[in-house]
Amino acid sequence: MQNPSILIIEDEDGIREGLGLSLKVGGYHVLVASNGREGLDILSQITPPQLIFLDLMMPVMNGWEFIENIKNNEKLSKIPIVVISAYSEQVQSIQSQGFLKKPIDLKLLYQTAKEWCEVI
Amino acid sequence: MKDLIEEKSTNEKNKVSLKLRDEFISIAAHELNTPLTALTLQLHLINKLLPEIGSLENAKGKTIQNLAQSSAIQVERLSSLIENLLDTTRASTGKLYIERKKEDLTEIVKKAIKLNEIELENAKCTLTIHLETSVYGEFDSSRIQQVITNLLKNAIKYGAGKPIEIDLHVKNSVAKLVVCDHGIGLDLDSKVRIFKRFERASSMKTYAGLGLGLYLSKEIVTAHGGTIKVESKPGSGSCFIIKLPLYIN
Repeated sequence: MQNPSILIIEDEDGIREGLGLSLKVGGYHVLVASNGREGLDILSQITPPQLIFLDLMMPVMNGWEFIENIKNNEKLSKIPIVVISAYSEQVQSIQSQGFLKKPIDLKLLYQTAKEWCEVI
Repeated sequence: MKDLIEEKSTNEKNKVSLKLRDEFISIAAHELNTPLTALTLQLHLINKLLPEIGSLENAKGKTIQNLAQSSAIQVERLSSLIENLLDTTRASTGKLYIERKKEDLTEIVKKAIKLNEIELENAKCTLTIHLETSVYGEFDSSRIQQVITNLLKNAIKYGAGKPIEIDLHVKNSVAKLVVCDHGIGLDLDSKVRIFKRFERASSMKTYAGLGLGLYLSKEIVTAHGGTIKVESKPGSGSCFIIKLPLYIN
């Protein structure tokens, strides 16, 4: 059986690598993008992942714009999105399935990934 | 007339300076948070993977494990300081977000105590707990936990290793939470100042800290429709008293 796949969209190299490595160790297949535009490009080439971890403040295409871009796409709009941000108040303005506060706790990261990847 | 104009101009300048200070704190805290997020993940992962290596039974291995655990604790401390800075700018601009829902205050207090267990043990403070059960109200549990943690940390810091008491009871639909220490205590002037931003009762040379914990605690308690005050005498310790209404919509 194939490992569940997760797409990480995060512009900060250190955070992206940290998240990617943690999820790989946790047994997930990980895809990474450094902004929303790259995320869309990846999604257009692959089978939809089980989950997306999405940063909000990013260059080129931010998290809000990314969500706006996929909301009318029948296939992509079904992928659960967990927003990762230092600001809990930002999440009020966004439609997402979950929120992880930066700095991210590893246990919570695994718990969230497990919860959404098992649901699908 | 000239004096009035000069006073108005000084007030305007002060407002601009305060706004600039808050903006600077917000930007600095956010910038610090970015590498800290990466560092936190890496340290948590190291702590997860280390026991799986299998060659850590010797003294060096154990030292590495202790260092990794200790680093994770220090990173969490740093994270909490940065979060306090962010909260301070949120509070000063009215953006301190509170999400209230039906919660048991007793359980929130228990969780906060559990979170501070190691620090209490290290400080050799005995903790006496009297908690009324099932104290339901509308609370933002993580924010109230933040308040209790602030009070506990202060009690540990200024409590000189002496016993700490926590009491929670309900009277007339108001929950009264009291955290008492028997440490250095506060003088009259400090009792008024400590709930303000960046104010501290003690000298920076003796006790470290940003002077934000009690300011934020007051903001959070007020946002819940409650009050916070301190009763204290120098040399006799301090009792922080929080009252929270238990109405449920």
